[in-house]
Amino acid sequence: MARNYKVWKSGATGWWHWECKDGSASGTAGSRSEARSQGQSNCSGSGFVLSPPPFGGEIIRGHVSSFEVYDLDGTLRKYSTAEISENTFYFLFGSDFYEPTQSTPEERVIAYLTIWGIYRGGQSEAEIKRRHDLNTAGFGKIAAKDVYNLEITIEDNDKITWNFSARP
Amino acid sequence: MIRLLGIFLLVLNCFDGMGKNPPGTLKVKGTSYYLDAIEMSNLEWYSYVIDMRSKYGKDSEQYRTSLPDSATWCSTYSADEFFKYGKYNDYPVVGITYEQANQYCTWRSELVSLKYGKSVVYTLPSKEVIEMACKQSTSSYKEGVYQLGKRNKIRGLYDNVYELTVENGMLLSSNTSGECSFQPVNEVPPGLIGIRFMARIEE
Repeated sequence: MARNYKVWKSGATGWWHWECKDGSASGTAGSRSEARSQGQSNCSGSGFVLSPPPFGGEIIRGHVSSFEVYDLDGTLRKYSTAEISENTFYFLFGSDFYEPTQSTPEERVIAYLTIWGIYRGGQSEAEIKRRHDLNTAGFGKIAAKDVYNLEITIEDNDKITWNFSARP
Repeated sequence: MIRLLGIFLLVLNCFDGMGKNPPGTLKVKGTSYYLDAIEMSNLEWYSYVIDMRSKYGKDSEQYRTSLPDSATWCSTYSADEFFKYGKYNDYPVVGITYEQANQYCTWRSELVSLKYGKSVVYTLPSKEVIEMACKQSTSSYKEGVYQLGKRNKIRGLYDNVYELTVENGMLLSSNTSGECSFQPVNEVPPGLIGIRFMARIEE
């Protein structure tokens, strides 16, 4: 199925925007889920496109055992370091304290998928790729933080299509 | 100890849902103002354009006056239509007039204040705030108009595009000296002029 609308977050206002792929309608919403809902209602076809902001979330406070982060729906979520390690958080947020040898590619990819709200389980590279319709190149790009121009299309049948080089 | 300090600094630099920095901005040390970390991107400006279109319609003055000067924008990005090519999403928007920038400020201030329940006022930056911010700005100089960086530091104040200031007709210059300076608008090709904004939180 073809994607029919796209959603993205404005870093300048904190609001979400959506637009039908054909440009026929667009709007502004307070959260990703609202934007997605409005896109579904106003655009023909099915599926939606997610353009994650570069950081994928915002740490509001953190200490050595847990972090609180706004997810792409604008909901504040708390993660323990058992879920996402401290070092992997440093990776996500570009901290100088990130130590590359202390986080595996699988951990880094799971962390991104979790913060984007689309993690469907899996611990090994093969299982993560299978559950998220990711190929090896895509897995490697996420693990390397090469997600600057990423578009994630999620169809109504839950199939995910990854586009690492194009946005709206 | 160093690790704990790192976490502390990380928290200070992150927008916390309007508890600290208004969206897109970082605090300018020594002032009560915040400044956009990076220049306004094409995608950010496009978000404004489509909001005008959806609220007021394609034939409205609000929508029409939100569009960048097409000749300027298209010549800078070698494109035939504003925002037709997503590959320029994260490049600085150009072709915006002083008046358009101020209209955008009104829109942005309203949206941010509404979302976060505090009165946040965005304006074009003053010379004084820019000069203070220059002391904490990071340069990643590349020739020409180039892709914007992350918002974790104030970037590109003295390179990438020239930028409008609150003083109509006076630009923040773009140069390789590593210092902020100012220049009259009529000395600069319009395709090299971008924008960023400063903000203050009103109690």
